[in-house]
Amino acid sequence: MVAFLGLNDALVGAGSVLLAVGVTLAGALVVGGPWIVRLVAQTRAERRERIRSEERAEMAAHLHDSVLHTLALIQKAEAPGAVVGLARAQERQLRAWLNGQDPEAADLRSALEDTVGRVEREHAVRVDLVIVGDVALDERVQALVAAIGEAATNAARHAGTGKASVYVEVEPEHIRAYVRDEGSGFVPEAVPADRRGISESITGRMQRQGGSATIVTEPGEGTEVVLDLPLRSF
Amino acid sequence: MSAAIRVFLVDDHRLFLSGVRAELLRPEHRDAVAVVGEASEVDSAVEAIRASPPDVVLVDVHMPAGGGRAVIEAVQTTHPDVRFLALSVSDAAEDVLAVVRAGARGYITKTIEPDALVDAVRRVHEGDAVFSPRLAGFVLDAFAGALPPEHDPELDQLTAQEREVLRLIARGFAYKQVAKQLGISIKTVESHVSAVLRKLQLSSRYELTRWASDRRII
Repeated sequence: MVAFLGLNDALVGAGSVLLAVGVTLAGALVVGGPWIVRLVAQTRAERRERIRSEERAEMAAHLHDSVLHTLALIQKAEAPGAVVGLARAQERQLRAWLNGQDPEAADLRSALEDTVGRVEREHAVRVDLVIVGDVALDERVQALVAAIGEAATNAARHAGTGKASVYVEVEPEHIRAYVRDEGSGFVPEAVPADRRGISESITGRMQRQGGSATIVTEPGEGTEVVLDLPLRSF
Repeated sequence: MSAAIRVFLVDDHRLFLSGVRAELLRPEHRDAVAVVGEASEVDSAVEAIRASPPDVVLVDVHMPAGGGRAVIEAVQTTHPDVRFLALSVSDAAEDVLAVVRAGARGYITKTIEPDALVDAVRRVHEGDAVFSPRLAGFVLDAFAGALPPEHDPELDQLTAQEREVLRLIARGFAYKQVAKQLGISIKTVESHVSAVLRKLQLSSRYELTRWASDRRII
């Protein structure tokens, strides 16, 4: 009997403790409720975003391991020039997507990728493109990209090596571009007047933007076209 | 004639593995390199390399279970003498720089010509660094821009001549041509490139650049 009463007391005690806890919790819920709802929504959104980016990463990994390799293999195999060019162009596009570049972005990098990709496709050559830094596209930068495209086209047509290198560096005050091949080279003075592609489409273009073009070449020593575009207004 | 360089290949893409093997096994390279083994997974690669350490490991950047970086980090704890050269179809600067920072002595792309590949293996074996134009570009990018003052300027910046050497490599010049352009010896070019590699591996610079670019600050 005594034991029973004691137990009953204990139960009542437990009940009031539970009540107190309940009230506290309810209060906390009222105060913290909106915050919890927000937190839950945010967690859900983050989870969705994570799943999406995991899916993308998985897809990217797959493309990486399969398609990029196949495209590289085609370029190594002795496939016809047109096939190699196609594989190279596809590789470039896929790579840009995998690296998260926006294909519509109006910046120097995207414009150069496009231009160099076009030269590779049209002339079945390999052009190694290395870019350091980036800058938004405006009329002057577009002119530079066009001049680089011209120089790369010249290299593709006349070098006879099937490859060329383009290096572009954006510095605080100017952009410098180097288009180089290890081909036959030429004597600049000996270029006939009717083939003045260089002077009009490269030098003229650069000069109109306040920039310059220098051509370094010697028979047997390859050719390098150096373009310089000042970035400060003048 | 010194003994052929013992090369181990790690690539999860079997077709490519056989392609690289075929290139290294060409008759004209027989005296220079010998392929002593290959693996297509991180774990089996680490095990095989430890069991019979080669001179140079050609390692793919992208592989399941940690990629080339995992292989390099695991092997270096037990066999610091084994040298690594990364090769990849990948372009992403973060991936390439991470593998080089883990200890690879250079990076080349898989479309490299056979003679250049053999040359790169020889260079890495001799302890030099192999910078393709693309890697030179990545490194110039990583070291660009201003730094907070508390960083170690010795490590976190490139000297004017190191920068000039990297620029010429990015422009497509071979080491020999870089030497000629700058009026210095090939040895000096090699020591500049090795110094850049060391800075890349030791400086906090690259973490900083990556941190900033991840947050789209730059």
